Amino acid sequence: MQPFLDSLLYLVQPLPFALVFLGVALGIVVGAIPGLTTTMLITLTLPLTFFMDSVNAIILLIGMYVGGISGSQISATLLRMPGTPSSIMTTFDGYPLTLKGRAERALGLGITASFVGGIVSFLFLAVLAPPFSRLAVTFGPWEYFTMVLMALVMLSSLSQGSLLKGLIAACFGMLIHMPGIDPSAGITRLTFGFESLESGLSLLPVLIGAFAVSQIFKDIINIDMRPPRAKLGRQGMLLSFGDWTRFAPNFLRSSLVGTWVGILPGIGANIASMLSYSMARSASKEPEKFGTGHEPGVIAAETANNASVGGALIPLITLGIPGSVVDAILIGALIMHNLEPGPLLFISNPEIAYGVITAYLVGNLIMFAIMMFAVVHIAKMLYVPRSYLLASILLFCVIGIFAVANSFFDVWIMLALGVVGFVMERAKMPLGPFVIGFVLAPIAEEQLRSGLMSTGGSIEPLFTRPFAAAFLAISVLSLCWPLIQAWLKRRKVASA
Amino acid sequence: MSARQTAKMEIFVGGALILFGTAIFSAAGNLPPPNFEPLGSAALPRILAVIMAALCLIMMLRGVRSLREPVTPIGGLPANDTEERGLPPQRPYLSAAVFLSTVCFVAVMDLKLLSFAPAGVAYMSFILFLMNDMNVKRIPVFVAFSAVLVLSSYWVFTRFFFIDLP
Repeated sequence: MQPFLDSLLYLVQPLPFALVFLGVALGIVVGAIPGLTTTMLITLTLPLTFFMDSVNAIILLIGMYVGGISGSQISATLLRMPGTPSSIMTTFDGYPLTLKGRAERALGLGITASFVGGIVSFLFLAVLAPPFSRLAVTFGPWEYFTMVLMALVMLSSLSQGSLLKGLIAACFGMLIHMPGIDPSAGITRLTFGFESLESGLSLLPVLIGAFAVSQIFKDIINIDMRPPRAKLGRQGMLLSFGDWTRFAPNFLRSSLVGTWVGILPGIGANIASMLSYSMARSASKEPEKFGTGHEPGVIAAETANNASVGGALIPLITLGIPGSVVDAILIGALIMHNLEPGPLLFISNPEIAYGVITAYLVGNLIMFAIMMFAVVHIAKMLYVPRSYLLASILLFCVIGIFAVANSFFDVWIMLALGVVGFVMERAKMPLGPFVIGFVLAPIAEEQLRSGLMSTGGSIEPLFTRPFAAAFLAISVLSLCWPLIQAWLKRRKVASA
Repeated sequence: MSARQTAKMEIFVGGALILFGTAIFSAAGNLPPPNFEPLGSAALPRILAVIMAALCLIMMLRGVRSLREPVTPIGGLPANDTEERGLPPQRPYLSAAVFLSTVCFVAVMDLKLLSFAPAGVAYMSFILFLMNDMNVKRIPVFVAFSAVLVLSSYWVFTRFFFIDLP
């Protein structure tokens, strides 16, 4: 309890509080603008965090994460254009409410739902993270290797539907990380004669190229798309006592679903909101009203997507395993600040682990306040001219990457990865497994090699150590699941 | 993108990744064998390259199969006709032009032909001009906006973060 209180006391000091506030505000604005993503904001902020204290850097990024997930509901509700995929389900009932002239009510419900989801998942994060990390300390290399494998396979199979493309992207991401000095043997490999490749590809050019640059070029293709204007006042945004009691079961169910889905690696906020929405519809006495501007639909979607963030932070700070792409970037941020993500984080850097937990709590409180008081003004940001915005971001990508290492090589890598990311998206290949493969490749290789060294080359512990065997079994099941599903479907059709 | 365009992209990406995997596989063959451990430096890159190439082959075969299937437009309209669906047209050439401008901007600074400030103002003004339908009347606005943004970022990076820009 004491480290938590210390962290909370630190966070209410002017500078850390201002950083969380700034992070949440930027996250909301960027999340609200369709085409700009939270991933993009966090990757572009990473170079600037080099000049910051590690705790301050992490709390700023957590603030952006919370703000981004919540902000995306603004465009989803007002324009039927979700700022991020996590708000797709919000468009189903949020936008019809706007068409009925009840935009304020829809936003009020969404903001409150986001806040409730955030607070419930914070409770799980605060309660579960310390015991999880104590358990994870007992893990050896085989458990780690199989856990990374499980994260990659689950992310590949669930991120965008195509397991095949997800796996290709994950392998490609892992291969991109291979050039450079092999840390186990101390020799350079796969540099193809390029001296600049001897230190390997840095995380930032890869991230900014794959997510920010490729997204900018994708947005430029659709630059003529103008969002329609929506009128917005501030009446009726706060929920009444009657609303609270009426929606309480929905709040609770959606928070639990969101948190649980967030804990599972690779599933993410969009699946959480879809699952929660369909559960709310199944549990409702008026399921036919969903999709026509039904208030419980907004609540289910927005509660779950925010709750999934808190859930995803649990494996991130206890195991060093990312639950989503943003989590992979946060792991990258920890590595860049010379911190070791994983169970030892609670022991070696408790200020970081508890900083994440408390920043998540404070971020949610700030998000609620900003959204309730300023959503009318934030909504105006949706109409900022896209050309100026995209040109400015592109310029910052170039100077931001150059500034990190004073190297044009990194800038070229960023542009190349921008093209790679753009082409991958055109082929409907998910970028999530690619970047998570890139981030997790060194961990997987190191753990596998040290495991093999300890057993003299035997892979027997994969099957004899309970956690390793369980993680491996989940990975195999995830791989086989599409085949099993297809077989079951064929059998059902045949029997019918 | 239509299903046919996606299939073509899948074949292209699959082919490119197989080439990349082959390059990695052959380069890994030049690495020394393991001395102190069972796996060595070459094993994982080779395993990953083989898995990736095999998966890419499957993806390419699927792509070829879907290209051979006859096109069945829904309601007499091609699925991706944005104009028919009331959406503004897509502008891939504009995106390519902005990308080429960015390559030129970086190359000019990398080759030390121009420093960041003049190159940045010229680059920003040019891409704003491109993205705003080459509106000549608004060039002063583009230049003014670019100058303010580039010079203020130059000031922030050199005086605040103490980083030398090119």
